[in-house]
Amino acid sequence: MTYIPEVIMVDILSRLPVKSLLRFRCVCKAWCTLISRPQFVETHLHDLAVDLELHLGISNKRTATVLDSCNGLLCVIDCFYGFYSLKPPQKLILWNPSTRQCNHIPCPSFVGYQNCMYSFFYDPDSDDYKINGIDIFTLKTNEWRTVEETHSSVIRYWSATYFNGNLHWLAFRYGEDERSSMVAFSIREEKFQEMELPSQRAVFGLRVLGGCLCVDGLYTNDKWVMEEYGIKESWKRLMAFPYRVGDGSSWKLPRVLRFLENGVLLVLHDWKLVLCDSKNNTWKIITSYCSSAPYEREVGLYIQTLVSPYGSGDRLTGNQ
Amino acid sequence: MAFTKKVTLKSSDGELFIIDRAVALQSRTIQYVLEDTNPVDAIIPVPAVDARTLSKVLEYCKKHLIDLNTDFEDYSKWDKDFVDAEVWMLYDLIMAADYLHIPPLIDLICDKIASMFKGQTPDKIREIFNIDNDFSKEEEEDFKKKSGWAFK
Repeated sequence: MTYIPEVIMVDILSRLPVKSLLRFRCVCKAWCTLISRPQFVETHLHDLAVDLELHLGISNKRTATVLDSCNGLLCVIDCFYGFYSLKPPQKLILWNPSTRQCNHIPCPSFVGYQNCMYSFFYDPDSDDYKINGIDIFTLKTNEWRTVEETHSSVIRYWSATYFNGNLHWLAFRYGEDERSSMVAFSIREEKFQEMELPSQRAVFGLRVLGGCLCVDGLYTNDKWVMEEYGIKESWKRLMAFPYRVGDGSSWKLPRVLRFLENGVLLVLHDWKLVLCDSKNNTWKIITSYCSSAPYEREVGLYIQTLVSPYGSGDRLTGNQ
Repeated sequence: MAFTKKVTLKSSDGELFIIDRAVALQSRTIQYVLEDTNPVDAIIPVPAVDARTLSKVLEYCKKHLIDLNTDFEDYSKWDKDFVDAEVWMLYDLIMAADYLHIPPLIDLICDKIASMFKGQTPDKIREIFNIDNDFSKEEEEDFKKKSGWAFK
């Protein structure tokens, strides 16, 4: 056999798509061991480029909804989910489309109605994947646990945003001091706390961009980032949004998906993916996607990985 | 003591290469040797790399000296032509780049080899790297059964 140092072999293999890797596991036992190793799965995860378009391949008569995605694993339920959800789903599935593995998880009581909240995320502290609603599901133990809700604001959006060890939801505080707020939940301590938003006005689209929490103004074109986590005064308004709308569809709000390099933003607007250069005030449409649904479909970021939906790396040959 | 402007490298098969110090410094291995010993007019041996491979590596290092007049597209075109080579040559190059520790060259060749791998069958990979198949027929069939879609 031609000798190649392992570090170089890892370097080469980690550049390959999952499909090639699944095939190359049967080149020889040494390769199989290398490709199945958790460290390799992790290297591969960090090396692969981001694929933007997500095509759900579920051949299911029921509608499937992607609740969330993390490191190439999708958290899917088998019904339409959101504000119009009428019947609860029967299945909650963790799915890696690249390896075509699915892990069917028992449905907790909270999933399925509009006022529930969830997030699917990787918790680096415990090196585990977790689904969080009012209950927490951990992939390593394959179990749900209940958490007590102690915050006073009412959570208004069902998707949570994971950042800095906490989950965050946009919320509303009723009473004398009525305003929008944000509820944070610490994964480590399993405790809730409330955080301030930049303005009293309505905001939406809480997410992490460029290593900071970020929200959009609902009736304005403001973009706000929280430069120092947890400090209300550090909310800073971003530069004027460079993308101009000229086709009469300006009521649709552009949504920034990612900060790319050199001040370039990846923006979703009016069923188009747009690259905006905030420095030169130029933009370019990458692709449009059409939707037959009356509401705008979610576009998420998805990457190809070998991460296993079973919570351990050694079940690559599991259920198909 | 003044730094010498030229450096002499000696390949495994005894050929001498006199090159600019700046070119040699792209190899971290040689950089360490120069920093440690700062040899004046001394010859630095490169025992793991033969003359044919070393000249190719040095060609890369010369091209990649920072030149503000070359724009990015010229580099990528040049790089593409540079790695348009037979597998054995790429193999020699990557072993040399690894020994000499030239990260951008390692990166370039890994990319090229990965792109050659992408659509190949396990058989073809075994042939390229001269690897013995230590799986039994049954084990191999098992792979195909469980992730057959990856073999299509």
